Order: sequence, then structure tokens, then C-alpha cells
Amino acid sequence: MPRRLFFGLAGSLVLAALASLLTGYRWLSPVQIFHLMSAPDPALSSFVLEYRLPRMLIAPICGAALAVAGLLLQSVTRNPLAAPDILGINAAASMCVVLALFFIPDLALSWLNLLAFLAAVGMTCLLLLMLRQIDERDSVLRLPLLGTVLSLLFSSVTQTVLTLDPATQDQALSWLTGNIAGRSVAQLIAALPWLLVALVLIVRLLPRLDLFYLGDTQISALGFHPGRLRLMAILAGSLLVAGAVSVVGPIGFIGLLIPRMAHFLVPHHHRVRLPVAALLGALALTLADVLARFILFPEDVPVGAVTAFIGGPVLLMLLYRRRRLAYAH
Amino acid sequence: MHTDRVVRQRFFSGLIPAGCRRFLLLALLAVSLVMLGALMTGPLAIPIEGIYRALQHETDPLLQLVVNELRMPRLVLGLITGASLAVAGFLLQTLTRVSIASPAVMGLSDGAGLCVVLALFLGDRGWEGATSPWMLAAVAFAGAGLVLLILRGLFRLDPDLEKMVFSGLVIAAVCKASISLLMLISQSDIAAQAQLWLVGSLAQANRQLNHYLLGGFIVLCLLTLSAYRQIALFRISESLMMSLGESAIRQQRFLYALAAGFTAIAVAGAGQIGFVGLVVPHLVQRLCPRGVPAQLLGNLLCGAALVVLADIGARTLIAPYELPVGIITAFIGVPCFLVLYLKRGKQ
Amino acid sequence: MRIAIWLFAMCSALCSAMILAHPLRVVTLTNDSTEAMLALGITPVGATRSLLGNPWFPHITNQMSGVTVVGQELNPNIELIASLKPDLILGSRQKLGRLKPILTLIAPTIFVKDNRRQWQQNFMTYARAVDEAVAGQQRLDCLNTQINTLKVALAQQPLKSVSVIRFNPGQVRMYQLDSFTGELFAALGLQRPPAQQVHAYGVSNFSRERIHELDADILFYFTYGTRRQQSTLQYRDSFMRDASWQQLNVVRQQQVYSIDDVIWNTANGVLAAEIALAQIPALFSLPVPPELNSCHLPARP
Repeated sequence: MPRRLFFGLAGSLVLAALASLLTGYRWLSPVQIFHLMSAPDPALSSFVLEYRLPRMLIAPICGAALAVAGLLLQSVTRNPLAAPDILGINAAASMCVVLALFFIPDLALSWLNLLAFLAAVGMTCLLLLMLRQIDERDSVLRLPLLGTVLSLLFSSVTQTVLTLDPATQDQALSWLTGNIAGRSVAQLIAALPWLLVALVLIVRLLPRLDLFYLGDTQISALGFHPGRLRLMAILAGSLLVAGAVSVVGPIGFIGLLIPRMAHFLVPHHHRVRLPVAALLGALALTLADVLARFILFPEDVPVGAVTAFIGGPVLLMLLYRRRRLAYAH
Repeated sequence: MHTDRVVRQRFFSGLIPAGCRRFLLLALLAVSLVMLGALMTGPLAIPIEGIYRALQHETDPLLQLVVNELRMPRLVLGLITGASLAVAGFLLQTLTRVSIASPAVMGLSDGAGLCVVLALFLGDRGWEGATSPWMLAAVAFAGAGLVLLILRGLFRLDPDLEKMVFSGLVIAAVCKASISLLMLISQSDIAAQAQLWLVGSLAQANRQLNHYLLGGFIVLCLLTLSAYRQIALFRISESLMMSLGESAIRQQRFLYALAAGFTAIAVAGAGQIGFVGLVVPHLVQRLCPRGVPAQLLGNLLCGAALVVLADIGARTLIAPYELPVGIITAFIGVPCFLVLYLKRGKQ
Repeated sequence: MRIAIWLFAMCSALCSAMILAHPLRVVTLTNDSTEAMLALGITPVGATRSLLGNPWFPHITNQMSGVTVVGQELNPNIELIASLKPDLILGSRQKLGRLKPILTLIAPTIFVKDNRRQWQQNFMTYARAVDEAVAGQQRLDCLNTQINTLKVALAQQPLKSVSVIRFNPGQVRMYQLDSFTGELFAALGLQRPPAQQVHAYGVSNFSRERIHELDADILFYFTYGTRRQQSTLQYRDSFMRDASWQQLNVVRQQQVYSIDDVIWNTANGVLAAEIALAQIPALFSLPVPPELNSCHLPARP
């Protein structure tokens, strides 16, 4: 079953990537691309390289990063509703970036990435500390609600900075909603080291993902160190969030919905769930990006708005499809 | 202490239990001090005698203008807004039994905010009447009410209160995205105006606006205070309440509508100010654990004090520029909330 | 019209009681009203800070000494305004409509509908508000004479259509007819490319896939003078390395010029208009620069 799923997802992703490459204000055809490879046309090739290729690359990579980060968060907190946006990690990273840009206007990209990473790690650790205060018997919604409270604080700060500096409001607003149009491959490459380190950590974590659903004593009994596992997962998740947010801004709902969908598609195969989530996340964000080009044609809608408009109702549907939230994994 | 224990057994009889009396007096004192502070601070520092004379219209016209037309309406708006948000939060926390419920968390103020931004947007596009205070208040109420209707509809699908509050969160996120989108596609000046609305500002306070809001506020307060028994019943046990049948459901709807009304008053007057509806009910609960009328009064007083205090900070910290009120309430509110909530969890 | 009637009524009520023993104390809440006052020889007692500059735009700084900063354009400090005891408050309904009820209590308040468009009509509204309609009209007539002179000169040169864009960090904005440059170039008899020949302010986030729509005989761009200068310039450079950009006729003919954002776009005022008009002969490389008489009023006694 997973194999068919994989091929199906991979195939869909390729189609979506092609759509991302070919569609938009100016429609290209596969024939043109094919010709491009044999007879180079500088205008067309620069068009493809500068506009379409970045979007085609950034959307799947950041989508996968956000989805996997959500999955890791859900594993570490043992909470099916944990996600970077709900728990306020996105908001924390945004706030740090906006504050940094306010005080040091021409801050280099690499510093912004670092700040986003530190904010993501800091926020996740804070949440874990808060998690300890929460009773096991408490509902699964406590943590997201607490995270929301903190993210409200961060967005207050962000909004304040925006009112104090009205001159930079437009670009800040555009960034804060989550946007893929206008991002360059250079930004993706700047984030790539973070994502690669995260990948290394994930590869090491992959066989051990099931362990997260056991208690600490059981994990120790099996010979693993629960603290180190959690730390690796947090680091990996934060790296992914930092990498994604620093390129496209805080995009919501992907980190929350995609792991749930992956859980739904492969309920019993824990190890497979991560790659499935990655593929699904890539697919979702690519499709959202394609959609963003056509909603208010010819203007581009920020992709964060698309994920919110689609993700919100879908999430509500998922929540209310079953009578009880699925606590079991 | 001893008095409290005795009172706890006679829960319904004492309207204002003894422990709460002290708290209410303190709250009253706090509000008075804060009101005085609000009247005294500003670019023109006016001493107390000056305030008194200005209120009696016996002094320099400039001081009279500043005190009566600028600081007083701003103070009144702050009181109304703070009190409304606190009571709305109290009602929502009672009805949903989720301690983190508040107008902001449940998406009510975001829904109201979205409708207000839509009205600003339409006003810019040519529909002039869209931006009058009447219209904005009505539109804010419509927004909050719409979100509530959606939540009630979802509740019918699955009677899980926490899920409902979480859905409110989701709706809030969608509203926020819509607001950002509207601000991006509109001309930039609307974005800046809407931005001010989104962070909360008491600058537009004036007597006329206050009359409308005060009227609505007093009506809502009276209705809420008159329903104190139902609120008390809800606080004990929801299942007990629901077992009382149809009238209970109507009561519930009524209380939700009150919460929406309070939220609408606050958002229409001052924009979205966060954390007041979240933190103040917890504070009051801690200091006055029993007695719903006392708790209602406590919420009114503490919420009012908080917002007016935050406004004083907003006006003075980076003079002559103003900070949004919401950021100060956030900085005061979040640590308080974390301390209160996490301490409560430990007990 | 309504404003004029209201002002007339206001004036007849006040003027009979008012003896102008002191110069008129005006508080201006938008830059175009500030410039209008300066053009009429009145220094405001208070003004909101300019969007860029510290705290005033460069072209009005030396005329604004001693003026109190009353806050930001969108969020003025009302008490500070009151403490200045103004006789008149000027602003824009689009930006500050919600504050009009309170400002009216402090002093007579005149708001124009939208301070980014119709700069000439707005200027006359402000002039009438300070009872300087005659001087204001003279100033406008002088400016319009300059415009007509330039229009004649421009009609005889080959560059007929103008494209206007602005670079922000990571974003390009394209301007259309209902903006300051839109109205100015229309008055000068210049055309716009089809995408800009639209009655709207502009397109905020212009997609780079549509660069070919920017083509015209001559292109002007501003770089937004915010604190993120470096990022803006980097974005501009990357934009201009684009192949679609290189293929535009206007780029091939090397008719791309950078002009000051404050003067040509953000200021919206009559002083800025005059400075802009003075720059036209050089920008269009007119072979014989026409004589443009200065429109400054003689100094007040």
C-alpha cells in the first residue's frame, strides 16, 4: 500500500511542479521548455530561471520542510494539534525578523536566517517547558491554546513595529502573510544549509520515531535516551521551520494539516509517515502557489492567504469528521 | 480563611461574599487612581486642582478643552472598552469552560475586525457611509455574531466545547489572513488605517461616540447582571444546566449574544485590544473565587483599570508619538497570564 | 463645494469677532497642506512629521524651523495639537476622517477628500481656508503657465509616453493615472502605456512576469528612500539585470532615469510640484530649455 501511495504522490508532485513551471501570467508550453534545452533562447531561459524555477523549487522544499516540522512537533509533544503556526513558533520567528529589520534595516539574509532559527528553537523549548505544567489528563487542546496566547503576544509586537514604521509596511505585510512570488533562488540557497543539517538529524531520527509515543521510562528501558531524542527532534524541527520561514515567511496550516493527512493515509506505518508527510507538504504548497497565481488574476495573492483560506475549512472538516480527536497513533 | 469557608457553603445567598468585598474595594480604588492618572497625564501636565477646576468649567479654555473633550472621552472609552472585553472574556470562559477562551482566542474580535476592515475598504472605494461610527459598530457586531453562529453550528456537529474554542482559533487565523489580504490589495493608506485598528487605539474617542457606546454598554451590563443566577449555574456544571432543558439553551444563546455584544462595543470603539478578555477573568477568579455578581463587578472594574492604565502608557512612553494600546496590555497581560495559569495548573 | 459653504459660514461668524493681531496659527496634518501653507508664506505652528526625513522632507526643511512635531501623519497627538492653540487645522479625510469630530472641537478643521490626488484642487481648498484664495490662485496660475510652457516644448520632442515605477525592497510598484505623477504627466500632455492608462492609484506588487507592460518612450523610477536603502538598491539592480527588462525598448534606447521619490511621489505638494516641473527640461533633454519664471510669492511684510 505505501509503495502505490508513494508513486502516486511522487507523480502528483511532478505534475504540480510542471504546473508551477508552466502556468502563470505568461503561459509556457512543454514544447517551449523542450526547445529551450536544445536551442537556448536567452530571453525565455532567463524568464524561466528567474521567475518560474525559483517558485517551482521553493514551494515543494518549503512545503515539505513545514510538513515534516509539524510532524516532528506532534511527535515530541505527543499532541495531534501541534504545529509551528498554532504553537506560535512562526509568530516568534516573524517577530524576531521584523524587529531585527526595524533596528538594523539592511540586515543580511544569513543573519535573518540565524535569528529565525534562534527564535524557533527558543519558542519550542518554551513550549516544552509549558508542556510539563500541563497534566496528562488535560485535553489535547491545552498546548495549542497556550501557544496561541503566546503567538498573540508576538503578533502584537509585530503589529506595533509595523505601525511605528509605516514606510516599510507594505513589504513587511507581504512577507508576514507568507509569499513565494518574488523570492529568489539565492534565498533558498541561503536556507539550504539549515535544511540539510535538519535532514541529517531526521535521517538519524527516522528509525526511532515510534519511540516518541512511549513514556520516558519505557524509552530508557529500551536503551535510548529520551532527552537526546527529544532534543534532536526539536533541533530538526526548528531548523526546518527557520529555513522555511526565512525564505517564504510564516505560512500556516501546512504544518498542522499535512501530518494529520499523512496519519490518515498511513495509520500504521510510522516510519513511512515522515516521507509521506514530506511529499504531501511539497504537493500542497506547490498547488497552493499555482492557485495563488489565478485567484486575483493578474495579481499574485500571497500563498499564506491561500493556505489559510483552504486550510481553515479543511481543518474544521477534519476536526468535525470524527466525534473524538484521534489521540491514538 | 474562616469567613470564606462559611460563605462557600451558602453559595447562592451572599451576593457579595466578604472576601470579595475587600477585592472590590481595592479594584474601585485602583480604578479611581487610574482615572485620576489618565486625567492628569499628557503633554500638558495638569495638577489635581486644575482637573477639578476644568471639570467645573472654571479655568483656562485650553485646559477645559483638554480635560473635558480630549482626556475625559478617552478615559471613558478606555473604561468602556476594558470593562466590555473583561466581561466578554468572563462570559466566554464560563460558557465554554475553557480557561483560555477570550474574544481574541475564539475569533470574535478577529471576525469583528475583518468586517470593520471591509467597511473601511468599501469606504475607500466610494461608499461613504461605510465608515461612520454607527456603521462600524453595527458591522463589528455582525462580524462577531457571524463567528459565533459558525461556532454554534460546529458545536451542534460535535458537542465538545474545547473543539469549539479551537475552531474559533482556526477561524481567527482565517480572518487574520483575510485582513492581511485586504490590506495588501487595497491602496496603502487603508492598510495603514486598518493597521491602527488592528492594534487598538483610543485616539478617536469623542463624546458622541461615547454616548452611543455607553448606552449600549449600560444596557448590556444590566442584562448581564440580571442574568447572574444563570451564569452561576453555568459555572457549577454545564450538564446540570443543560439538563434543565430548552430554557437553558435559550439562556446559553442569550449569554453568547451578550458576549458578542460586548466584543462588538470594544472593537467598534477602539479596535482589537488583546489579552484583557483573557487575563482579567483569571485574576478576578483568583482574588474572588465565589459570587458571580461580585465577579462581574470585579471584571468590569479590573478590565477598565487595565485598559486605562495601558492607555496612559501608550500616550506617554514615546511622546509625542503613540504606541498602540494593545501592545501594552500584551506586555502586562502575558506574564500575568502565564503566572496565573501555570500556578493554577500546579495546584 | 460643501467645504466652501461651511467655511464661508464659519468665516462670517468668526471674522467679525476676530482681529488678526497675531499671524494665523495653523496646524497641518498632511504634507500637502504643510507645503500649501509654506507656499502661501504661512509657517505652521505644528505639523505631522514627514514620512521620510528627520523630521521634515529635505525640500521643506529650511522653511520648517521652529515647527512643533505633532506626531505621525496617521496618528497625530491630539493633545499636543490642542496645546498649540491653533486657529485652523488642515488635513485629509482619507487619512484622518475618524479624528475629525475631536479636531473640530479644538479649532476649525478643513479636510480635503484625498490628499494623494487632485493636488491643485486641494491647494485651493487650503488657500481658501486661510483666506488667501487670491494668492493661491495666483500661485496656481503661475504653475499652470509653467506647465503649459513645458507642454508646448514637450510636444515638439519625440518622447511621448511615460512609464513610472517605484522600487521598494523586494517589490515594484507601478503608478497609474490617479497619482501625483499621473496627474502631472497628464497635464503636461504626455501619454502612458496601456497598463498605466487606468484611473487608479497604482498596482502595489507588480509581478515581474509583466515587465513587458512597462514599455514606453521614457521610464522614470523612484527608489523608496526608507532605511532599507541597500536592499532596495540591490533589488533594483537584480530587476535591471532581468532579460525582459533588457529587452524593453525604453531600456535599449537608454531612456531610463531615476527621479527623487519625495519630490515626485510622496510629497504631493505644490512646492514639490514646482521643483518637479523645474526638472523636466533636463529629464527630457529639451534642446532649448524654456524660460520658467519662479512662482515664489514676494516676502510677506
